[in-house]
Amino acid sequence: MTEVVYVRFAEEELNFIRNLAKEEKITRSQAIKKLVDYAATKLRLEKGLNNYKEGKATIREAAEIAGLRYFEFFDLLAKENLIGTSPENVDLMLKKLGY
Amino acid sequence: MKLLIFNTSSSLYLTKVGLIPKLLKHFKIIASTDIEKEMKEGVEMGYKDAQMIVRYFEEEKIKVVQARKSKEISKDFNIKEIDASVIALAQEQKGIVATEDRQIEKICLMTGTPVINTAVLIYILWKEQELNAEQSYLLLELLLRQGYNKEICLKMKEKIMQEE
Repeated sequence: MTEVVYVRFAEEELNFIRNLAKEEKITRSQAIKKLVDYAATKLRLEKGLNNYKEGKATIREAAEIAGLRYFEFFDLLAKENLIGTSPENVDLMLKKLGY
Repeated sequence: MKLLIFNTSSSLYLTKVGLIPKLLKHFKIIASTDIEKEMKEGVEMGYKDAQMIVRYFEEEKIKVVQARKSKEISKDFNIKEIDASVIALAQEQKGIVATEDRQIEKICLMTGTPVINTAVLIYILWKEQELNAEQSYLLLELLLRQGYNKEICLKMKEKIMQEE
């Protein structure tokens, strides 16, 4: 289902959209859609990462928020050096295991 | 022999550093059917580490077991059933969850379920004299290069240096 949405843009934003449309040889509507898709992808990724970092989601849940499959999101966590459980719990882990 | 329950996260890293054969000398390793399914998806996506884990499943070096309490744990902690399956298996089989997932770790600690990660497993293999100190440092360095948390790697390295 699609819906027409009226949005008021500032001159600067409109110039950016016009230039993008010209560069990509697409219509202004297509340029706006492209920008929204791009921003939505970025925002979903950011939200997934933040949810994981803040301890609000498991890796799988965060991957779903980010719109990625587990393995893809895991690669992203590795790029951010976020693999590994909480460093402060390491001693507790070892104690519980008798080390 | 202690029992390790693999989550996808830890199994991928243990594969990256080639530690599974050494671990199998000291631990019995199992994974839930949900994790096996996820790993097969990884194979379809072309992930080589996933392929290696699936081979361990096929050779039955890592056994695949159906968790019974996944739904219950999933409901209690509002997490996905696949996440819950790892904790459920550890509770049902009296094993240790091997994970790199901070949320799963948190739930394990809350419920008194033993939990461990790849860096700590390197330390344990050093303690068990399966690895010497040099090998352990190299593996921790390798983990770090592959995107592992720096603080944990340094902590484990310091611990080995102090106790060596």
